[in-house]
Amino acid sequence: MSEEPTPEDRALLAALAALQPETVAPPSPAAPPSPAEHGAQEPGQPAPPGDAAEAETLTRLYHEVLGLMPFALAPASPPPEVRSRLMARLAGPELAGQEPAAAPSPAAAPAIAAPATLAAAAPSVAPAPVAAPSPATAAGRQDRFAPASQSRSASVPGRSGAPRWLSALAAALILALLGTCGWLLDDLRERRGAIVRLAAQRDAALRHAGEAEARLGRLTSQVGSLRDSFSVMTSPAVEVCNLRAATPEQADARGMLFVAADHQHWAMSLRGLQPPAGGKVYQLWFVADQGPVSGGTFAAQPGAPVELGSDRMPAGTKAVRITLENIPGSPAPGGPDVLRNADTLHSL
Amino acid sequence: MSDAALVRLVAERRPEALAELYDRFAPTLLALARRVLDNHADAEEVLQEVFVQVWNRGERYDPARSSVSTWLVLIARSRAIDRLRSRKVVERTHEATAQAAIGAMGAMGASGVWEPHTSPEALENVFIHERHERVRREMAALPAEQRQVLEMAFYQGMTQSEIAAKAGLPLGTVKTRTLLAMKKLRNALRPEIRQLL
Repeated sequence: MSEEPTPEDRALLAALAALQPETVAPPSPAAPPSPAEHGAQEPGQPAPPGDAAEAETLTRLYHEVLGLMPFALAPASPPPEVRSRLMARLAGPELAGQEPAAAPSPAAAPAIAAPATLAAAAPSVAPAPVAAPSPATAAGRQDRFAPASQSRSASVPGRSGAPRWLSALAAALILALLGTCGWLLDDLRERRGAIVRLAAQRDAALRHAGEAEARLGRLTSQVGSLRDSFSVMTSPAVEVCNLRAATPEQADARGMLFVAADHQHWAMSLRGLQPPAGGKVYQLWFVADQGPVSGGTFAAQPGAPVELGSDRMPAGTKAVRITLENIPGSPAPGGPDVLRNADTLHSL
Repeated sequence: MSDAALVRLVAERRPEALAELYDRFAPTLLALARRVLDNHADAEEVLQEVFVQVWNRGERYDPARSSVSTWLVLIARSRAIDRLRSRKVVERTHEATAQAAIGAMGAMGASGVWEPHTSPEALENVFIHERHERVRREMAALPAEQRQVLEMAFYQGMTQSEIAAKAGLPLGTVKTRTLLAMKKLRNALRPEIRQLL
């Protein structure tokens, strides 16, 4: 790499360098070793405080990335005897006899062959105590991942250096805190943005679902009507009557009326009707002995057929008419005829 | 209960807390140790050493420095690599592991997924199981040459200079590949890291 490494690169390399025992710098006598100190900074080039905090945060992130790497491996279930041996070892005199790091709880009795449940243990969780190293660890090698408390206890400076050391530590802590706060705020903003986006997606999905439900309702209704019409059209002894245009303005209009043998169920299919203008409506009339009886009003869409039907038809119906009415639901035909039956209705 | 709360209970000498921690992480740590050592018996010894160390030093865990998961992983890795070196067969094992890695990369094929050696049902913690899935996917998504240098550094404890020498690559190339791989992983694994912190 010929380019100058960025602070992020340096933090990243520091996290990687911490994996190498031979390159790990010894802990500073003035402060516990931070991940950024493990190779991030060239000797003799102290980083500015702000950069140091940022580098520490970045190094911590890359430290966690490295810690995730083994999760790419297929997990390997250890044989049960490994767990049994471990628990037996903990219960044995070698390890169980050690002094507890904090005030012992009742569950910390030394001879526990099988672990008890943790259900009742949660309330007793206490902050991690800062304790002196146990004899076993004092004799053992220095753990690179051993946490700061160990180094802190070993790096208390003389009385004359304390104020400066404390100031530096306080400044570093404040900067680290600020860096963490910034990161958390950024994270919070991201999360809020995600919530807003998800809420918008949810609303859109609900809207689409509502529209789809309404469309489904309409289609279901249409299917029902078509099924009824089909049932009438294919029923035995159905009477079929053509409807023809009654006005030159709607010369293309035509239709067919199907009347079932019971003279009650009927279906009508209309084509070529122009959409009514100016608030007018089409109205169907059954002409019986007592005069025209309204069969209902309807509209028409350009190029779309109109399908009508019902299970009731006035007794003695001899003819049908479709008029264009100014007033919806007129009690008697007032407008011009648009369609009327071309064939005689014989037996209604 | 969170991982950190379990470690605090371990520091109070609560064996049941250590057992819970073991159940959560042993499959991952054992897989790591096996990958480093290429030996089941040694890997199981390392696994036990890790939890004995946690039992003895649980009070020294510092959540400001790493998540429990990463703390355990890096202890296990360190123990495994120490043992690898103590066997004085470093070079031979590196060869075998490198061959295994290359073979595994070849075996990934189009799916880019490691074939599991054990059943995932062994995992009791669904979050850890999901973490496995996600990390496996993101690692597989890395270009093979980037993944290789990262794995040589992590699982074989090799320095970048050693990787460069072994792979016959310029040191700068090794560094570049490592940096790219790490940055990609950092971005891809952001949700997982958030959960850990």
